Amino acid sequence: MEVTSKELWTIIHGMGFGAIFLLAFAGGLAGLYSLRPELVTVAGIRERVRRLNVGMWVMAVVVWLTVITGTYIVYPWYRATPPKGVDLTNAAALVEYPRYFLLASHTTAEWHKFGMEWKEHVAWLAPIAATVVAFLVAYYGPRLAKHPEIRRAAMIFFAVAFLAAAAAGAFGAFITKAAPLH
Amino acid sequence: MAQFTATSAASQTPSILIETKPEEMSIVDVKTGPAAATFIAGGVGAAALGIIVPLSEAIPALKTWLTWNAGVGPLAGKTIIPSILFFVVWLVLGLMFRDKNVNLRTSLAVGFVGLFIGLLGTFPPFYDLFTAH
Repeated sequence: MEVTSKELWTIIHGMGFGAIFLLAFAGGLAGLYSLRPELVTVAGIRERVRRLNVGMWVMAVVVWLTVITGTYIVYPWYRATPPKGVDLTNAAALVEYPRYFLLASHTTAEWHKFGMEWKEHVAWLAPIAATVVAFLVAYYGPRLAKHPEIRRAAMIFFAVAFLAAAAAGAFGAFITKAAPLH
Repeated sequence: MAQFTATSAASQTPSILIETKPEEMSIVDVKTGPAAATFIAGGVGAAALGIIVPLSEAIPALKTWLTWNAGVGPLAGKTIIPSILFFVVWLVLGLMFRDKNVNLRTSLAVGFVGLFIGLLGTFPPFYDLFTAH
C-alpha cells in the first residue's frame, strides 16, 4: 500500500480541505437560518454566534487553502505537457499527463473541456463568498438575529460558495476517477 | 413565559411541561458601512472573475499575459486578479465606510449582481462563445 506525493496532495486538496468545507456547510447554513429571536433564547443566540464565528472563519480559511493547493500544487501536474514526439492521440501513452490523456479520446474529452474548465474557474468564487459570510458573522454577531436582511444575504453568499465548491469537488472526483494522478 | 405541554392518549403516561425563559438582550447596533463594503467587495471580486475569463478567451494576448506561472498557465492571472481586487476593494471601502451608515440595498444589489456575473462568466458554454478562433 503506497501513496505517492502527487496522490497525497490530491487527497489533502480534495478529501481534506475540500471535504471539510462541503461537510461543514449544512451546519453553517442551519446555524444562520435558525439565528432568529423567535426560535432560540438569548443563551441560544450567544452559543450559536460563538460557534458560527469560529466555524465560518475556519471554513473561509479552509476554502482558500483548497483553491490555492488545487491551483498551485495539483493543477500543474494535471496540465503537464508530454515530451515532444509523444502521439497525442494515443491515450495509452499519455497516462502520466491527465489533461492530454482525457483530450486524446472523444469519449473522455468533455471531462476536460467542460468539467475541468468549469471546476478550475468557478471554484475561486467559493473563498470570496465564504470570506464575506465570515466577516458578516464576526461583525454583526448576535445582532444578526435582529437583521433578517443581512442574515438572508449571508445565506445566499454562503449557498453560492457551497454550489461553487460542490461543482468543483464533484468534477474533481470524476476527473480523478477518469484520469488519476500518480 | 412560553410553555409546551405534551399530552398523551394513555392516561397512565404522565404529561410533561417544557418551559423556556423569556429573556432580553440589549446590545448597541453597528453601522452598516463595513457590511456594505464587504458585499460590494464580494460582488466586485466575483464579477472580475466572471469578466476576466471570457475576456481572456476573446483576447489571446491577454491570455498569454495572464500566464504568470508556467505550471498553472493563464489560470494564475485569471484568479489572482479577482482575489486581490476583492481584498483591495474591501480594504478601501471598509476604510471609507467605517463609522458610516450606508444604503445596504445598493450594496446588496452590487454583491448579488457580481455573484451572478461570476457564476455566468465561469461557465464554459458561456465563455466559449467568446473564444477567438
